[in-house]
Amino acid sequence: MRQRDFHFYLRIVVRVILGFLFLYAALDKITNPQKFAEIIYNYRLLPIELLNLCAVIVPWLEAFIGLALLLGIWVETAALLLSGITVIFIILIISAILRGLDIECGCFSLDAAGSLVSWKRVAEDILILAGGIYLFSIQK
Amino acid sequence: MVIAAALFALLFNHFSPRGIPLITPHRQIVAGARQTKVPIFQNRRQILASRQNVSIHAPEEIDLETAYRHFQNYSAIFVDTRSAADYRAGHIPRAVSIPLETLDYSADLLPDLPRNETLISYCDGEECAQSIDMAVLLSELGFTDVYFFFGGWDRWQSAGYPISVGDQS
Repeated sequence: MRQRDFHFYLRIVVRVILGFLFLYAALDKITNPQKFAEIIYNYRLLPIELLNLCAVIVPWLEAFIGLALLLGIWVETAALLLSGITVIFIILIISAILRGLDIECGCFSLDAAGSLVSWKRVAEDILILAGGIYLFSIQK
Repeated sequence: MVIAAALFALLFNHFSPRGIPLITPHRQIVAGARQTKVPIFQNRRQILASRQNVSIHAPEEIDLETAYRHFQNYSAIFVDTRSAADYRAGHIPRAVSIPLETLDYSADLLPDLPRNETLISYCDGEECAQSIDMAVLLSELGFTDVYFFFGGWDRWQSAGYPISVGDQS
């Protein structure tokens, strides 16, 4: 019984934290899509034609995930999407690091001085991923 | 949920003044032996603004030797588009630092210069496109003799040409 209470509260905490994080991360990108497109371009992975489409859709997907987690609706779906998207981010960041690219991460803020890709970013994303998997795996 | 987000995204993008074209516009730039696609990152507002500048003088690429000749002859002003930190670590002597990544696009660049001044922009090297973006930007601001040195800092440095270090140009 106590075990269950613990998970009940932890679930809410993780939900709210991840929800805020994703909403926050989405905000800057939504208001500045062409800057985000440029950041995706710097990763040199997507065909040029697709950059803008990605820059338009991904931030809103993040926002919807964040909102769903915050409001507590569709939590499982949102957590699954969050985990999937975070796995992609992790792969992208690691590939950028391995290729020696010295580029902005575009993770949370589009600020130029903000944040370059680094192992610290990977660690953050792994934490987020852990939260996502937790939310997805734990039963209501 | 993905579909909802995508629909919402497309709708928002369609009506926002900061919306962007869904397929990234780009221009073909012939740089050296190869053709490169350079994406144009502009939102709706910027696209409208650039349409009003009907006749802009298209910037052209120059190679290492031409850049160096301009350097020796004092016949052009170099514009370093890399970050302030990169500039500090080393740049072409007398180059002006205008980091593109922190640029305030509403500002008039190099306001004191006559518009027929020869300008040469550069960034790291062939992997970056800021030199081209800067050249286009300067052209749009009315400069008529703008070039981009596509080989950039990499080529300049490996050629063993003079460099300056620190904040001073």
